[in-house]
Amino acid sequence: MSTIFRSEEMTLCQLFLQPDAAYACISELGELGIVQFRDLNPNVNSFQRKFVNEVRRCEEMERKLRFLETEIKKDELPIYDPEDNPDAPKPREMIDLEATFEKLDHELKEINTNADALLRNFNELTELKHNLSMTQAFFDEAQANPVAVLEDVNGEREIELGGQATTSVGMKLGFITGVIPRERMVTFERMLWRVCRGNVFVKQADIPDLIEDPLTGEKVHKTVFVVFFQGEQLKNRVQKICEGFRANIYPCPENPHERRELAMGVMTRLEDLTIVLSQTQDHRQRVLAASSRNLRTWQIKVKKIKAIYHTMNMFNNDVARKCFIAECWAPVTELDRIQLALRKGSEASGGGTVSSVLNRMITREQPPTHHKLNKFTQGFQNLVDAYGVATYREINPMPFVLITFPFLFAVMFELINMILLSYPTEPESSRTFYSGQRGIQTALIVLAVICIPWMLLGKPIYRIIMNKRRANYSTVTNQTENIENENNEQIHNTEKKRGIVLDVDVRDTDTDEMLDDDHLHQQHHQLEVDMSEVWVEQGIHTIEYFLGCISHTASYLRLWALSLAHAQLSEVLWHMVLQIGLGMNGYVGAIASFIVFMPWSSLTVFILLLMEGLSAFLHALRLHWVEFQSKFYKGEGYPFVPFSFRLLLDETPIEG
Amino acid sequence: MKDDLYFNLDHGYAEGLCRGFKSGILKAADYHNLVQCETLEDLRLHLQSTDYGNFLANEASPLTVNVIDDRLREKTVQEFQHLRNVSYEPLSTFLDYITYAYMIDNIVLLITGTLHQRAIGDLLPRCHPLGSFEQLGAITVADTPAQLYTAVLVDTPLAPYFIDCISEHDLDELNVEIIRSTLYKAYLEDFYNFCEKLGGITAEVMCEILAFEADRRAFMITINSFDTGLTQDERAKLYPTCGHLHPDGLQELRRTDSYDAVRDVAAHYPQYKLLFEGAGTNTGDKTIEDKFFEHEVKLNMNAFLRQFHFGIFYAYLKLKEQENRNIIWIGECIAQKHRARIDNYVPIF
Repeated sequence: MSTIFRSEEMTLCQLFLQPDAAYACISELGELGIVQFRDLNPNVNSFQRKFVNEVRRCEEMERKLRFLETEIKKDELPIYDPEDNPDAPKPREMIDLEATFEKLDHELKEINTNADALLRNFNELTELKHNLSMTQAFFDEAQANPVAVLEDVNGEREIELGGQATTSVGMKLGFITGVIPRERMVTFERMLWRVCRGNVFVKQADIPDLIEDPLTGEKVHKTVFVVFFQGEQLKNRVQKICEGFRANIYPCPENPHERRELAMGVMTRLEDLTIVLSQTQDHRQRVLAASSRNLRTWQIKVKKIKAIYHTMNMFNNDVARKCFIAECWAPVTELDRIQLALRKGSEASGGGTVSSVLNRMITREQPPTHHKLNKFTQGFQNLVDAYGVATYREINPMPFVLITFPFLFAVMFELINMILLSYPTEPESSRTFYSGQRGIQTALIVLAVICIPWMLLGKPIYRIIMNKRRANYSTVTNQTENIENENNEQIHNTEKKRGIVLDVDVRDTDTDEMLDDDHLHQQHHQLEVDMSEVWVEQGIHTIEYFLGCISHTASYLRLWALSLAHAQLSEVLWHMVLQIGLGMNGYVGAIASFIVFMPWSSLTVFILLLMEGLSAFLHALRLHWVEFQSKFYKGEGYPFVPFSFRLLLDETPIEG
Repeated sequence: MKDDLYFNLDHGYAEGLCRGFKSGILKAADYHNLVQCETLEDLRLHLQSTDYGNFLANEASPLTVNVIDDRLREKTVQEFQHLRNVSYEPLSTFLDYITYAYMIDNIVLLITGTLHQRAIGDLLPRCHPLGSFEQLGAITVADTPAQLYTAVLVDTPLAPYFIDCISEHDLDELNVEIIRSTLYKAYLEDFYNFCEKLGGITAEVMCEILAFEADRRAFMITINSFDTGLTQDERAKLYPTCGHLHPDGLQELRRTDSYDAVRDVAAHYPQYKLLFEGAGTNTGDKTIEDKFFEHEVKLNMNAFLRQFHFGIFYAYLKLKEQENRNIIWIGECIAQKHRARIDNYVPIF
């Protein structure tokens, strides 16, 4: 019978699965979600397991799906959630899925490469366009104001300025134009000045728009620069520096007529490219939109396949009997459902002559702790589990916490006080909450006092009696013992870990030690040693209990302390803040109330509600963990973590 | 005392982060698993269960050792840059000092590459990211060290180290190595003085590590220069003076001309005597470089035993690099199916 007072009865089961049916059976069990598998190959490396190739294939599929998801997110397309829970696909379907993903992946990569090439081209042309327009502006300015320009440069020079040509003696200046990210401009100029020893002339102009850098794809601010120099050597140096700073150099014709032609050519090409680019983008969006509908379903399917193969990696492959052996923990009450799931799995994978078999095993290992909970009780169970998960089949404090926690919280938060203690007239000490309170109080104190000798003497006396009984029993059967011993040991060894169905639980639940014949020998030899240990242990427990009674009771005084603090705080806020506002009359009063309301409400919310609430929660929790649970709770179990697809999909949210 | 009380105010977060990173360094059990891998895919699978996680998840198969190398370096650089971003002074300057070594390596890489007529576009991606600075790309412009200094390096933090290098020789192969050694000597001594000035536990820990580094350079320069045209005086100018060997050991070292003579010099110093005894020049023995690596790992691990100092950041970076070298070594042995010496990595834990 399952209750919330104790954890569920668990049993270790052994499953014998046919190789063909194994996948389908595990899939059914995953949907059911009530068994916890054990790893039968703990010493095997992850890459030496049986199904490592299948796991790798799943990871490859996940990688492709991740790539697909990033691409869909980049284009800001919506991703549809599946309405129903897709089943794990059969192994044959896995190959189909892989083929689909491969095709999609390939197609998307192709589209991306094309788009990238086009985009790069587009960006280069945009930069060139800005380059030409800026240099054109510069040359125009130089034409309009040749004197100013001449002043900057040493010596005379000859540049073709539109229709106006200035003659010069000797050298002709060459120039290089290019585009460089704005933040590098200063260092670039300084470097040019240093390397060329000041024999170059730089003019720059910022590009107002953000340009996508052809190499990295980010949008950055860029600057157009023109470098004037004289001679081949300087030209080489300037080129090397430009390369080093990764500036994009664009050839610019000197002739303004050619420049204009080039500019127009660039404009036409840019228009063409824009059309082609938008067509490519449309195509890409179509491909992505088609797959976005199925993306979540695929992801869930691949996750399930991977989980199934991870689980199958934990199985033992029995070559002799040609089946997989699995071990799992399962609640006893669910064994029927598990059998049903196994049968369904065997049928689904084509029947076959032998279906999967489930056997219960007897073991001395501690099973995991499993509580049957709903959403409401789960919350309180989490409070208890945060301290420690209950030992298997130990009393679960949760049902008590369910009631006492809200009560204590309410006491500290002053809610109870408001309900019960409304304006008393009698002195506090003589007031009773309910009839017969006096009598009950006395009875409880008497019980507490009786506990002391009970704890101190109860267990040792019991032990002494049991030992005496066993001593009598063992002397009588001493002769037959030796012969029986050998037989028993053999039977024990064979019973240990094979799938033989046993109905009787061999463990003796009376005492902590096992009543094996093997152990009886040692027992009465250790008689004296045991007893002294038991006395000491019980002595410690009794002292602990006695001291605990006093300290725990005193600890409950915090209920009074917190409720008092809460009451005083609210009084202060009321009298010192709000009443001032409410006390005034007329229009002044109205305005004062309005002004006072804000600080009053914010202080109330932050101090009384949040801070006091947190404080009350914390102290109520502490009262439970220390003053309540330390009296009886061991909490040395480990939680039951079933192999469940629902848990798997919840804990790894697919939304990125 | 001052260290203990006030250290955590500014550097507590960075130290906590660094120790967290360090606890993720691969253990002996991990290496044991790695050497059993048959393919690089197995290597990737095993690394998924370590602190590395899914760093190779988005690489399409088939994997190559180069890809793994790039990703490993990327991860190390990311961690170091994050530490640098959250640090305050004087930790920031300390971390910057660590990056100067990589800058020196990058400069030498670029100059050598240019001498071999390689394009700057091929060389720049091969530079170490931690040692990149703005003017790096313009190194190829320089033909002589003087030009290198006046044009490129004068604004970088490496400027003061260059004073000794400026000569009018052209940049050719041998010269480049001499430049590297001179730069490194100046850098090491500067770093040593900086750590000494910081004082406290940082000085104790770092000075020991840097002294070993200086001595190791002296030994290696000596041993590697035996059949080259380097004269004894030139060699002596390259010895860093911040190690235990200064001044007597360095004097004797400059007079040596064979491996055995170097070993005799080392015999005067107990810790180096041990290292040289464990090494040999036959194949199958550990070389002295391997012993030096092991000693360095030991010193770096010891740095983590003390608290409230900057040495752990330096030590972490070096340990991580050693781990990366180990993984690449194992990866290469697997990829080339030459598993005879796969166990020759330097164990850290």
